[in-house]
Amino acid sequence: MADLRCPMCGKPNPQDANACRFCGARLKPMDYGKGKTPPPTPPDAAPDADWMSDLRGDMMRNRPKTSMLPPEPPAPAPSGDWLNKLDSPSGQKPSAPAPPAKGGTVRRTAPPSSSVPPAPPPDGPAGNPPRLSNVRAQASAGREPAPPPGPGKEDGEPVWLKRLRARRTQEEITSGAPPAPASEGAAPGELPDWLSKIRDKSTGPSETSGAGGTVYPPSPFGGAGPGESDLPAESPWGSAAPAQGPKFADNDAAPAPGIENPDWLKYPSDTGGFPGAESPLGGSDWMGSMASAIEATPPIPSTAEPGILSGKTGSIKTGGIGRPTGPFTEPLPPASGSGAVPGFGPDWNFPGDAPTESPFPPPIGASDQLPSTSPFHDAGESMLPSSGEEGLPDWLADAQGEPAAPEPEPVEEASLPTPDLNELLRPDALPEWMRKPTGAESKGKPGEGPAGAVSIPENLEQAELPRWLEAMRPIQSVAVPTEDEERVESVGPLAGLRGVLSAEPVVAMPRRPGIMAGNIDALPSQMALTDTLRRLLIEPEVRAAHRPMRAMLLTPVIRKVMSAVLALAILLPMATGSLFSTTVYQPQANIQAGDLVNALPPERPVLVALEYDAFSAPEIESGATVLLEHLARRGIRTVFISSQPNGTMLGEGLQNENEKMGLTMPQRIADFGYVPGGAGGLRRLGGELSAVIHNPALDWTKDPLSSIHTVADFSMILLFAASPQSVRDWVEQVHTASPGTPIVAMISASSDALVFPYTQGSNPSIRGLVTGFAGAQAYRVHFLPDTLQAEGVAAMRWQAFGSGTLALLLTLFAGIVGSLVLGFVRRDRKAAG
Amino acid sequence: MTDIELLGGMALGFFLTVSILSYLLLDDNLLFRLGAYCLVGVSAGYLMAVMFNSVLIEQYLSPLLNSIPLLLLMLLLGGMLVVRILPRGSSVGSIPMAFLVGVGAAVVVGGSLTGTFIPQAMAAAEPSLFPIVSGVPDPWSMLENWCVLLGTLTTLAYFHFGARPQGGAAPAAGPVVSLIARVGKLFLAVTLGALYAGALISSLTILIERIYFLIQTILVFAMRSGA
Repeated sequence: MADLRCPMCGKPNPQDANACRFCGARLKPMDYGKGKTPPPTPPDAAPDADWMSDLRGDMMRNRPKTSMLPPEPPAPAPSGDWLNKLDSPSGQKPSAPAPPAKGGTVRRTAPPSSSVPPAPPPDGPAGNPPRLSNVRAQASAGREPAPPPGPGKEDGEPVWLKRLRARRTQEEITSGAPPAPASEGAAPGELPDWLSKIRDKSTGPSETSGAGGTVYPPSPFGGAGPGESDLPAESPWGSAAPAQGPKFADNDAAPAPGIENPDWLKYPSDTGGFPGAESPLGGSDWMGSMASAIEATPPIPSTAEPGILSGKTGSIKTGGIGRPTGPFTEPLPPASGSGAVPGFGPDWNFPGDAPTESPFPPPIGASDQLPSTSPFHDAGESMLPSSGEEGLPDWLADAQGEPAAPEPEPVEEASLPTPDLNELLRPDALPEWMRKPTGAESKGKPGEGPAGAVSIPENLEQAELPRWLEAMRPIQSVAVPTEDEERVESVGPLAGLRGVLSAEPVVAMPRRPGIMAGNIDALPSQMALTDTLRRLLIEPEVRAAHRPMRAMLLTPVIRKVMSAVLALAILLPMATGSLFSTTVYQPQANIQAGDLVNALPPERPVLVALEYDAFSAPEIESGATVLLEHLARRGIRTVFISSQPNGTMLGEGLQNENEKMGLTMPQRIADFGYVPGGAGGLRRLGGELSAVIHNPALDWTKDPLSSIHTVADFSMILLFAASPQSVRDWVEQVHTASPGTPIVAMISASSDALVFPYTQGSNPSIRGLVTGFAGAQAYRVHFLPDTLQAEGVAAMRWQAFGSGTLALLLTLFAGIVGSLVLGFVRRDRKAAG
Repeated sequence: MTDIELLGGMALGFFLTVSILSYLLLDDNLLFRLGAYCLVGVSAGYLMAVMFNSVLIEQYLSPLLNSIPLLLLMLLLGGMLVVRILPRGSSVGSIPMAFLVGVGAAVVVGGSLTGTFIPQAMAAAEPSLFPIVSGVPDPWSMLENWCVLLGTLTTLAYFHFGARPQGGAAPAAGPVVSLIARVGKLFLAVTLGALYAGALISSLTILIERIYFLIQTILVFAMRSGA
């Protein structure tokens, strides 16, 4: 057994399910039984229920009860058929008066035959717009007594709905169709408004006509219109509901004294003209006319396909009736042998059903007799068979004998012409608040330009915005091409509709980003920096490609060339003999050092600080040798000390080497050795030396150390330093603790510029300074001239020093000249190229 | 020192000198690396020996017997410093490290102020701009004094970082300060040039001594072999 498809979500459900298990929609119609009425609204229910939801509920209840289930056995009680209760107001028993409508609730009013006016909907509490209820009350009070509502129906229909019906009724009247029933609510057994509208649209005025010439669409349940239902009285589906049109207040009806509708609700009856009359909303009654236009859409001819309900031929005339879409109106596939679509749903037919066109596209291989349709059929398409008796279920066949439901009495209402929808949607026909301002409409006060533009008085002039404010102006992005509102969509599910957003031409069109840089004011320096950054990002690869090659090739060559030049310069004196004089420039600091040594008392030793390493030994020892010789000549004893681990070792080796060479060295009375801690260790020398120097070999109690307790006991500090830092440490840490002990330093030529300031001032920290090999030579020349050697290794060294210095000077001069020449040449090339 | 020790030392010195100087002709080669490695290794070994003897034994273990409480504190701080090597002991070794850094900073800062900054500043302010020696103005002294004054002021102006942004342009100092700073730049350039020249002279001296050592060694071995 096929599953029951939910009309809302389309998913299959078991046959015995009453509600869809996926979305909760009801699958089977509510069977109230014969003589039963829908449960009334509880009195203590919220009086201010949403009127829209109530309307929806009414519409749901009043929908024709259709389902995909096989027909149930006919109800035994002929009078309990709900369809019979849907009789027209004229032929129906007077229905029980509906309970008073709730405020804000839209209820169907009583049948037109009833003289009981609908109870004015009371105002509700918060949530219910009192104005709407008042309006409704006013509108209802201004109308003619409306027929009492059908059983189970409630009053309180909005005014606009009533007017829609009235207009439609008027239209039908003018077109010769029977007037729509005056009932404002679908009584039991009557067709709901929307259904009757569809029927009217599909059948047209010639197909069905009731009393008064009003044309009603044929009822899907049988009958061509109100009162023409061919369904038997005992039909389970009841009789055909009368076609209902919009009910409007009588044009001749004057509003009740003292009660006047607001302008926006003054509809054709109040304004005295319809359509096209000025309504409070502006323009014509576009809403009602739109609804009428929808109803006036020509119906779609039915096709050979069984409908939902079928009975005897003519019992359910669906010729041209658009099958209402809804939960209970899902079409069934055609029966077998009658052009049915194979494999689509059950193949049983309703009696009287003719195969109609399926709203769903036919499967592959379907009969060619079935036209291809879109899932969304046009309004008016007949989905029910116009006629056909074959294959009617038994339960429906029994309903064929039921007498037709009496037609409701048509309500004579003024026929209102229904304007064309296109006419209604014209810009000039739209209400004012829906219209776009145009040039003609904006002509108001003199002097005003188009809508939104303000004229500039004569006594004012256009102001100039400051630059910073101009810079803040939003950048206009690429304008999106406006869509043609009149364009009718031709593809897709929205085919046939106007004003649809076009997908591809506009939405998918690539656009530039909205935010773009406008004019940027940049300073020339900023632009130069920007250009530099750009060149750094773009050009470095080009530049780097050349430089490494040149550097890699030239550096070893230059190194070898310079080594060869210097080696030749050093060895040249060996071949040429003496080229340079021994006369050397005598710095003042050199002379001061020699003078100080000459003034030292011989009984006090000199503290010799050896602060150099093996790398600087050749340069330092040349000066150390001459100074130690001077001390030895004066008979001054020495004590060695060093803040470097290998200082004293180098000093001891120097002394031994000189003694082997026959030079006279001073007597070394003690070796304090290595003093750890750097500057901190030297700082300790300002105190008791015996507490600082922990040499087990030293005996502080015996001579000569017995007279030495602090640094102040020394006559001089002779400092041999290779780095300026060592000189600074001794000056800052030792001399500040013993300012009375002068310091004479022999330093490297590279430290001269940094140590020389210590020799300046009225009370310099360093009393004498001997700098490098040249200083040592100058000291020897001045103070020990007899030790000068005209020949020998020492003489050769001086000559080699001279030639080597000359080679360096020539090399530097050549480099400077070459750089200048190359710079000029490159500049000329740049200027030329 | 016997002759063998002397000749051996000279030969070793000759070999190491040649290996280092081979870099000039052969760039980075095996001999150069061998000589560099020997220098590093011998220096490290000698330093280790000196530290052990001159520091641990003479400066620490020997006095420990005489002043136990103070040296125990020193032992504790030294142990905490050694623990710093361990991953979890880094926080423990922070205490002696802080002590070392603090004492070193204090010694250096105090010595710089009293031994360099103040005496140098006073020496720069002492010279007379119009010195008179024996009742006669000494032009050379006057030139020297003026150069000292001018060099000091302009060099200080060069290191002035008080430029302010002027509207949209890049920050720049005033015109007067800029002019003075340019003169100070000249003095700085001359000073750097003098330092570079001294470095060249030192290197030349060392090179001369090494070359003559090589020559001397060759001659000695030649004489010894010939003899």
